[in-house]
Amino acid sequence: MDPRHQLGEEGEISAQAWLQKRRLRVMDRRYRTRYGEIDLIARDGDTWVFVEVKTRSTAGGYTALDAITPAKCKRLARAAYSYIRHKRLIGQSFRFDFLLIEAGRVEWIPNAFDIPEYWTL
Amino acid sequence: MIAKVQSACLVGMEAVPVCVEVSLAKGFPAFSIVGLPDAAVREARDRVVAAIRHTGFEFPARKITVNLAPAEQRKEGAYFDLAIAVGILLASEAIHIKRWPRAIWLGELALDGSLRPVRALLPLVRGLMEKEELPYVLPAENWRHVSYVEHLQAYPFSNLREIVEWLDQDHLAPKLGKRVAWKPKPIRSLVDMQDIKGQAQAKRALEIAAAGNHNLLLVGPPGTGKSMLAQALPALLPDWTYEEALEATQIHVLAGASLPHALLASRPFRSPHHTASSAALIGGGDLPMPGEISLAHQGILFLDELPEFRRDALEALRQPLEEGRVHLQRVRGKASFLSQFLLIAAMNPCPCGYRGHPRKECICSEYQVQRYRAKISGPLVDRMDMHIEVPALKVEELLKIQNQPESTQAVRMRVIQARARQIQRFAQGPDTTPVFNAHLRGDNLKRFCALSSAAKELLGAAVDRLGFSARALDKLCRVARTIADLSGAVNVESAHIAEAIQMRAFDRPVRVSH
Repeated sequence: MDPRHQLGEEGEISAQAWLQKRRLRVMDRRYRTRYGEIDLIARDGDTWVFVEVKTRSTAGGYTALDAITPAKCKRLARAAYSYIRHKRLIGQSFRFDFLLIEAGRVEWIPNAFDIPEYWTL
Repeated sequence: MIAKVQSACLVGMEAVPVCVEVSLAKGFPAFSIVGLPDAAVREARDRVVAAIRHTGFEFPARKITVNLAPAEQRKEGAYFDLAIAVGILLASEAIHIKRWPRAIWLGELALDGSLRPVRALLPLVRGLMEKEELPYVLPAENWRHVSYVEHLQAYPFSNLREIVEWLDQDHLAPKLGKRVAWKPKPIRSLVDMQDIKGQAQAKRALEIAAAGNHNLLLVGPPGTGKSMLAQALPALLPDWTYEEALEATQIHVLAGASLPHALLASRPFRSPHHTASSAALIGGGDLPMPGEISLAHQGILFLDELPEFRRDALEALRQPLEEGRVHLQRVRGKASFLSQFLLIAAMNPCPCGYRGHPRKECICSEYQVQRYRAKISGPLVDRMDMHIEVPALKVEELLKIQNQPESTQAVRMRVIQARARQIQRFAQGPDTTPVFNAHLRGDNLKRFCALSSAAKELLGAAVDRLGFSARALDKLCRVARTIADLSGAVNVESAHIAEAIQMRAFDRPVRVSH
């Protein structure tokens, strides 16, 4: 296995444990859609949470947050929408979170972005 | 999950009550503002999100729709930030409400949740109070702008946190700053009447103009003191009242003036340059803004070098001069501004300026003089109550020390008495009665300008000999009425008429110079 791939895999697993400790129920992991993958899908109360996990082995230089761009947000929103249709969840409430893991330190950004009106999903 | 918060904004110059409705729904997190917001309103989004987070609340992960009703009315400015933030906190049930006053919520939010003052609050509040008297929740910094408004109830706050605690009844509303009793400041003009040499007739005309709010045109060669005379005029006027100061301040605030004190201290004296366009003079712009004539409301408009003004600018003055109000229709809206001012204008008798001068030769041809005067002839001159010649003084007059010319203060006392007489007299009249003799019209004119029979006779003779127009005749009566008021007479006598006729240089046959 590619070492970068492995790092991501490990990151997602520790993210899952981290979220569960905070009373989020993880429903799916690595869900594949035609728009891309969703790292984690969890439920926080009645809100569905789509989580993008970013892992870096070293601190310093770029932060994990730098890897998140508007294009990635849009891709995640599209993937989430595809999940929602597939699981027939229309009418529920949703949220996008980021989870940044840097050298073992976790940073959680709940409700990281809004969907602007001009995005077509 | 719906909250409604009352707010308001200024659209152009009009105060519009706006209901801010906030709905929180399930779905992807989004935040949209509908109801024809302009850029400043739409940007409230980002300010509100940051302010709510920095006040210590989580911004709800919901589909948030903010509707500004009425929907078809354009909304402008950063007035709604506070109402939107409070609406979101209410609808998301993030805050506890133990009291919910029916109030109008105004304020711009800083990113850290503190409240910033909003623009032009005085006209906004005054406009809204005409419709309904509600308390206001305001930024604390704004309080001084409206503390003078009577019957105004307000809760001034300096940040969002204070408001949340107040709604939860943890805290009482902060105390209002003290209402400072407004006091007009006497005008200290640079020129005192006693500094002006000679020119007894012109000084008398100033007195009459100040007493009855009569428009005045000064005609004379350069350097004879026309501008000095005009500058002596503001100090002759009586102190203005609170109501007058409010009206005038409102216009200045709309025009974007930031005033060090909440109300203008004394009557404005505006003297626009003669290159001013008609839009600068009467008001204009994409969105109508007040012009010089409205900024001179309740004060003085001084037009120096009258014929040098653009023709269209001068013609535009005609309707506001008659009505005391100017109506503007522009691309992005219409507006109507008060513009009751005392017009004082100055001009040379001819292009070179020296016609009729005792020592200097005029070099203008008859044709040039005619063209020069034609620039302002007709309707505009007709609207001037008095036209006064300000002649160049002879050498001996210049050097002679007059025995004690009257000071501004002495003249002002008479002006104040004459104004008091007018107010007393007009108090008996119907609602349409104006405040000044200069605005008497129709029935009111007949009623309040009763002439003695000798005065009538003199007036008849004057019409025969000098060919006064009907409008000029009315002007004569009004000026004579003010002269009578200055002398304390009940009726208008022939002496008053005679003096009024003296004050109309342009209606008398043109004097042949030299």
